[in-house]
Amino acid sequence: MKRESNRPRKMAFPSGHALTKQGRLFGLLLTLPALLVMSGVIVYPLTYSFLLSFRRIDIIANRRIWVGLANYAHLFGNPVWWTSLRNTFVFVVAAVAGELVIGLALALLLNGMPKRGKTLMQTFFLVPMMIALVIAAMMWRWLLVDQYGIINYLLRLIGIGAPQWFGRPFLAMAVLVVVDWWVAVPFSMILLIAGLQNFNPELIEAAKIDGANGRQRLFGIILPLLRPVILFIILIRTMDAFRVFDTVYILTGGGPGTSTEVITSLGYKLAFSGLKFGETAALSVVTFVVIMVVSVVFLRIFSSGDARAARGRGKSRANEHEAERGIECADTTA
Amino acid sequence: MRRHNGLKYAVIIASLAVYLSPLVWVLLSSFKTESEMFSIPPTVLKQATIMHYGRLLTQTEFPRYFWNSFITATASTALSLLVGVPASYALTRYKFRGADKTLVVILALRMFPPIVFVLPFFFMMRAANLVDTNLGLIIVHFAFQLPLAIWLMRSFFLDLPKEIVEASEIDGCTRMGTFLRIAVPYVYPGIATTAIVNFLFSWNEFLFAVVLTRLHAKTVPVFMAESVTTFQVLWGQMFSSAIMFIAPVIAVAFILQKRMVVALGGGFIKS
Repeated sequence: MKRESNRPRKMAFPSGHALTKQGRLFGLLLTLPALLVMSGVIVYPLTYSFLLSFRRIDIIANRRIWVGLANYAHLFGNPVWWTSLRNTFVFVVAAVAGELVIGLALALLLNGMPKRGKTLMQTFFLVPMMIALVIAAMMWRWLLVDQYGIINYLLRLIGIGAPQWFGRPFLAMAVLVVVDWWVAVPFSMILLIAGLQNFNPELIEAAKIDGANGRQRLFGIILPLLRPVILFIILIRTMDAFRVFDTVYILTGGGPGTSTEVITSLGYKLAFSGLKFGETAALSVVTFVVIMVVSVVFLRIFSSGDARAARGRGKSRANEHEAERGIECADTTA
Repeated sequence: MRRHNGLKYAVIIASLAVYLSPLVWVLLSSFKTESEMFSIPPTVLKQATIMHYGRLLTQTEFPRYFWNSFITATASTALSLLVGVPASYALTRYKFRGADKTLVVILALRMFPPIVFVLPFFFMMRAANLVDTNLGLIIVHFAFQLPLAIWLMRSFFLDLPKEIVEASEIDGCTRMGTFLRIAVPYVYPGIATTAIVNFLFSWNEFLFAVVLTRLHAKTVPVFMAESVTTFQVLWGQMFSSAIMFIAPVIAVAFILQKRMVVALGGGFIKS
């Protein structure tokens, strides 16, 4: 941690010295290209999607016809939409929860290691995270192939039957979740390690001397101190998991039936197999609203957590402060 | 105490072995002959062959798709740094009106589900005749990398001591000179981190690659996805292209261990 500790942290946007007019102009000048690009490739597409959701594209006549809320009505009348919404939520909850638990276990394991070995170990654990989701999904497909897949072979060896992984709704969803764990566990692991590094090891030693057992140390000290980091991981990973598409595309195609159809895969099908562009636009607008609601709820929890932490800042104050500092988000959301 | 540590290391090594076993199994499979690949019971590796790699490089278009992936990732990353780093510096240091709001909006952009962008980008690229070109995909990846670059770089510019900047300006350096000669060199590690994050994003991106490319500009993930949509899966081809595609990334990761940890932490970890 090479961050200067004597610098006041709350200075979120240091303005340097009083800004002259030229200073402001210079700032604007440096930002201008980015603002132009973002309005072109971000604001414009969003507006476009929004407007398209009220229209129907007649491909043959190459015309756009105003249809009011018909696309939304179609979408809400489509049972697959509700299924995919539910599937997405199931996936998000299972994926993020598992990643946190496994990530925490690995973080606690690696935390005690000497610094040198730890970085190398972390890098080893990071490898699956660098693999494209498409490729990770293909690899798992190979492991789970019916007749000659290694996993089914091992299962048969220990006497459990070899299931049709992609033929049963529950198992298909479970495979998607496990592949996501495989790829994303390192993210929570390294963030939690960073969080653990930042608090005073004496605190845990003291608890040990006072006779706290492992479970008490975990739930009484470690988890409360990691709270900001954990909330942050949940926030980021939830946003990511909502986008799930690649693994569905490769592994299940949304099946069996519609049991693993998710929002993005449904949108992709509506647009490029069904050519229902207006309905896809409606789907993306609704998805956008759903995500906004979810993130507002999260940010509420987040800030109330911070407020509670601030109120209860007793003897562990310094440590909490340290824990937050390791994680950049403390700067931005607090 | 010592024995306790020994046990701990054993557990770490064992979990690492289990965790990486899918990758190891695919690596082994990529060197197997066709018949050994599908043998029951499975064998570890009886007879190594580089047949699948040879075929991949000579009989498929893989080299070209690899090049597409590389060009797309490199160009979009370079663009995002070129536009994002100055913007990030200005937003962090020159607090003009609306700077704070701009930053919040940029953060919010990270949360948009990509499906929102699929159709607009598809129609935009079709109108501009950029479907199935490297440039088209570069622009789209750049659009996603730019907010990320601004946001990541911000935390590094916040660490730039005010005194250094002021001293440079007192010494008669222009604002632009201060930015280029003082600020940018100071945040080199941050630039490297941001470059890794953005490169990996583009290298591994699939949704827009599959929507916006057909034949010419196809990237490796799209090429690989195609080997399953037909009736059979071309496993040999799948293994060899997977290994060749991830090998460079993993090599870089082990060279830049610490930076990689920071980068994959999404820039949220300070080192």
